[in-house]
Amino acid sequence: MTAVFSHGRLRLYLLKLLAEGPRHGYELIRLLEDRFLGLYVPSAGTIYPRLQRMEAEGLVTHTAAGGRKTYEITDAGRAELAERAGELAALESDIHASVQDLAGLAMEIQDEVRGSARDVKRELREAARNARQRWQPPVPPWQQRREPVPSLPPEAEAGLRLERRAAELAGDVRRLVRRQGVMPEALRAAMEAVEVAAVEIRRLIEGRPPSR
Amino acid sequence: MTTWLVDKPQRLAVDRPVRRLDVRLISGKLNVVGADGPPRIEVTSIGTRPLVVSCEDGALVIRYERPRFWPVWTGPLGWFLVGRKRYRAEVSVAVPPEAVAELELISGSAVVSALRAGASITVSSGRITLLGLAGQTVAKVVSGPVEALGVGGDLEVETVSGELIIADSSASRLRARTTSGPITADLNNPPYHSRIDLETVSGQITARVREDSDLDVELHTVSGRVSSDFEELWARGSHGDKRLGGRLGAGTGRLRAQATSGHVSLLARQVDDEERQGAYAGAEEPRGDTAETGARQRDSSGKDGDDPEREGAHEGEGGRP
Repeated sequence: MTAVFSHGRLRLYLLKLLAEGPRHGYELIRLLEDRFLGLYVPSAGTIYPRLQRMEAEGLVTHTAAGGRKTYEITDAGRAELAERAGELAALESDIHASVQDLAGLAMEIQDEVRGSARDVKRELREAARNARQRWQPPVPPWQQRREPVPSLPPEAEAGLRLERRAAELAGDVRRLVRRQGVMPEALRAAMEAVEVAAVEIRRLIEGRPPSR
Repeated sequence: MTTWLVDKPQRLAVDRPVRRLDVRLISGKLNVVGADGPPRIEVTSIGTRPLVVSCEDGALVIRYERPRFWPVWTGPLGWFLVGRKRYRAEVSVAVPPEAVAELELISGSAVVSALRAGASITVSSGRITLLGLAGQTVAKVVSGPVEALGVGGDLEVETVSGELIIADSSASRLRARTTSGPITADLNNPPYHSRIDLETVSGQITARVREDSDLDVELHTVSGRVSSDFEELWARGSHGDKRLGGRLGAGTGRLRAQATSGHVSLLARQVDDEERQGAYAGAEEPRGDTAETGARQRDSSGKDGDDPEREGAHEGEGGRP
């Protein structure tokens, strides 16, 4: 068993598992657990950040159904898999550990853990170095200097509040409408309500009397 | 009481229940794996002195025979001084995952995996590798590194001179101490009541926790710099980059990291919505259930992950909110 967790091999292994068919994150964890002969269950924290990075690079996509994400390989992902076919073959041919050969199994455990530990160390060290470079000690809120907020005349402030509320409404509408399973009749009724409200608002602001 | 004298490479099957494992070796390799089925011992290489294996009352003991007289006046250390070659052995043991292990090795490497009830490993000079442990684990090395992957429960690791790397750990209590060497900890702690203490005299500490952790944090260094990904932590004292503290989330757990000379960095790991909702929960449960472990080991040898039974189990998990 070539260490599946080291030298970016986990990424390759995940691509290989996804090339066999779309899978949920949970299934990927189970398959990796099998690879470790049930000795270790990787946590979501090891799988998810990698899937996310692979998605950002366009190697996989996900579809969410019923609150669960199913990951699928893309053409770019397949291309990368084809490119690294040799490495993948090595990864696959090496699965021969079994609980019967204890000494061999222990060697493989040692390699795997060492590879994974080195990967984690490299990743964290690099992140820490970047963080140190851009990091400034934060100032506690009670020491922060308050910027004086310029006060507005009351009519301008009321106007701003109205504008903000209208923008919020637009956001709410966008979110509600894009939700699945919305009835077209409901949308039509909501449209009428908005038209009525728009006419009423214009009338109130322009100071005209009610039409009826 | 059953006793075997092992003086050449061989395999032994112990046909009685084992609840405790006690191994004391001088030099070589020691591997312990939790597995179902009868306990087994594999001695793959051995020096000129025989090993004594005995099993009594659920306690499996592997050690050297006490010599008639100690070499000179040095006591057991004399074994090491005069007889490192003579006392060299490579021993692998499979015991039930719920057995408690106590392992000692003077020089060499120890690999311990899949034990659920606790283990204590002491190596004077060499390395310790831990994979998938639960329960209370104590790993101590005088000179050499400790590497742990996927260890939960209560973990204590200590080395005088060497590096500590803890990857993908869900330990709710973690104490890592080194005198000279860095500590790297990637923690997947449950976001409540974790207790994490990292301490080094000379070396840097790099720790990563979930961004939604509930931790009371205190980071301190004397001659390095502290940094964190969390905005909730504020500089304490006049030297802004030496001491940092504050509360993340509800602050129910505790994280202390202290270095005398070296940087201390706390990183945040992004959490997937799905992970937050616990959709992965089934995969993260520590498994005390040995029957299940056995079943999984059996299928992993033959079939791939597509077997209908597992798909069924997965659908079942999916039904949970």
